[in-house]
Amino acid sequence: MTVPAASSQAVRLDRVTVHYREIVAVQNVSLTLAAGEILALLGPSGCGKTTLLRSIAGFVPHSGEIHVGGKPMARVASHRRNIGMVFQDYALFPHMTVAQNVGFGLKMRGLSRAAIVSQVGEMLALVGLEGFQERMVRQLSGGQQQRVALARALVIKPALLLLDEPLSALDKKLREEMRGELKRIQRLTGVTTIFVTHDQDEALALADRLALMHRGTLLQFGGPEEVYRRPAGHFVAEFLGAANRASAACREVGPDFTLLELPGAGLIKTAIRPAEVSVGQSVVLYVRPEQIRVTSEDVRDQGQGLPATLVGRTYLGRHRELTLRLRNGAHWMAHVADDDALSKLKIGATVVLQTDPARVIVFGDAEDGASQGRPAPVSPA
Amino acid sequence: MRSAGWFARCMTAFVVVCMLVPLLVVIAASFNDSSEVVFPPKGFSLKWYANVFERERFLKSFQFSLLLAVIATLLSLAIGLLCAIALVRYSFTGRDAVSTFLNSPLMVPQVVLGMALLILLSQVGLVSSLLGLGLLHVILTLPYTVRVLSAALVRFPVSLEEAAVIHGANRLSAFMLVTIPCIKPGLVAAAIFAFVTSFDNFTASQFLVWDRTTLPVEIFAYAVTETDPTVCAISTLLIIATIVVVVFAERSVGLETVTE
Repeated sequence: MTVPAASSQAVRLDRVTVHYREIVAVQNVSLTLAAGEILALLGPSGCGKTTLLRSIAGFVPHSGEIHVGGKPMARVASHRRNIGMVFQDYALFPHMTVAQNVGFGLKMRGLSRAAIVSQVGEMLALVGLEGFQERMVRQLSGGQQQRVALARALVIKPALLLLDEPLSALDKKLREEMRGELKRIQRLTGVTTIFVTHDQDEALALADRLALMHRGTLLQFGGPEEVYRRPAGHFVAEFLGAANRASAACREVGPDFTLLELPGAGLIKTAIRPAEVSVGQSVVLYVRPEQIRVTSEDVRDQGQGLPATLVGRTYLGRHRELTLRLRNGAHWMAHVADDDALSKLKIGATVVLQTDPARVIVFGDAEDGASQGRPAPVSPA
Repeated sequence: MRSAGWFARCMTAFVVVCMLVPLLVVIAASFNDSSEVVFPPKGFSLKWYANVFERERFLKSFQFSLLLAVIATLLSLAIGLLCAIALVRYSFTGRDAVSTFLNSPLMVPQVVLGMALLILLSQVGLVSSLLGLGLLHVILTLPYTVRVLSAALVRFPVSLEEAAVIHGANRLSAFMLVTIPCIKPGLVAAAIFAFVTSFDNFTASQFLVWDRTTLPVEIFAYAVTETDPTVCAISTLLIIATIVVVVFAERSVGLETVTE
């Protein structure tokens, strides 16, 4: 299979900008990707992620530089870029057999018939479609078509594999199965991969690196954990994992932690360093539902914990989603383990919410709402 | 779909009968034994068919019409495909105007079109030439080829061509290896429309023929001076030829997919 390129920078984008007439679809996107890594381009529809992918493929005129395998792509036509691509609709050739589809790129590269037959056979085995050579594309299920599309893209031993919303056309069960398959095949071939998705679970599960895009700009680029734990702004915090949001004021700055007051709701302990915030400053904080511990004991005297009323409970299999009303009327969500004693709590019961101080995400209040900008993040210790 | 009521059935039957009766009359009359076109036919004879094949002018005009139709069809397909690509894949100022203009030969009276070309071609010394008549037939068939090929291209996902390109085909190879095979039913349908339109044309063509004439013009010329059923015989042969072509096309590519 493909040996990962020697270059540590398999892909480098430098200030890539795409204009559609007056609209800026992609603006100044710069990032680098090491050989063998999987990058997820994540964002809501219309954020420019697909346009960015298409400009890497050479389908969209752009400014800025794109390097693949250490070589600048500016003067390289799409068909000479040695890129494999899986399209959202798979784009399999309907008038060809599975073998002809998979072997297309090899045929274009002038390989001998015997070489094509053997490499197509190997690749079909890799994607789990042994013996499917002579089938017509329309006889295949959605998942099988996906595998053929993947085989067609990988058989040319591409320097880079591009996937445009690869799993969106599949139903949930198949999607999860193919997610595992994609990762397995990618690890086996070691091919550097960029895929576009609007599904954060998919992005977190598959990616080594995550690029979160919004309105054409790259908001944050980093490892999935880093992006999830330390979002670079309001938009990232809200887009990646539903988060409970609240405005707060800084009440007390200690050496290890800072106390924030949610007006009318109580105090919350966070691990911001004293240098980053001063007493009286107003901030916006986010707490992820799975980071909330719900207890019935009163721990407020320890200077932390928000009193709340249980107003709703939804069973979601893996966990329960609790809807809680804070004293100031705001509703927060909490995800708790299914076997928790809390499942016996009655609606209307009074509880206390606790959070790990290090996992509270805090931003200076300079910019409000789901804005695209990057408010100076106040990172937890 | 709801099954049709009795009124709809009757209307359909009426229309079908109205369309078929003239054809059946012509076919029946072609077997007349008398030298007049009468229906129902008197006696049975194949002599008018023999007459068709004995007259050299019919054979020559048939060959000429065939040649003309083949040339016009090929040119019309090539030009029509390029026009359709421009109209379907690109947006440019005046796109609607171009689209309407390409359809205009359907709306301009053919007498006007024939006259106009006659005047124009005589100015440049191209009157009485295969080129002039070919030009007319390309103009006449273009609305059909552009329309049918546009419909085929609209249904063809561009991602297929992109998939070919990204995996190593240049633009031309991608077009020839992927796009053309995928729109083949549209190409066949467009070819049939163009061929039949060209082969059939009388009104505009009569302005541009010279001592070489097309079959429809020749049939008309014959019918002006003769009253025997030879024209019925030749019409019958044309009906059979048309049926053969359409059935063949239907078998090979499935026309209902393009004409729906």
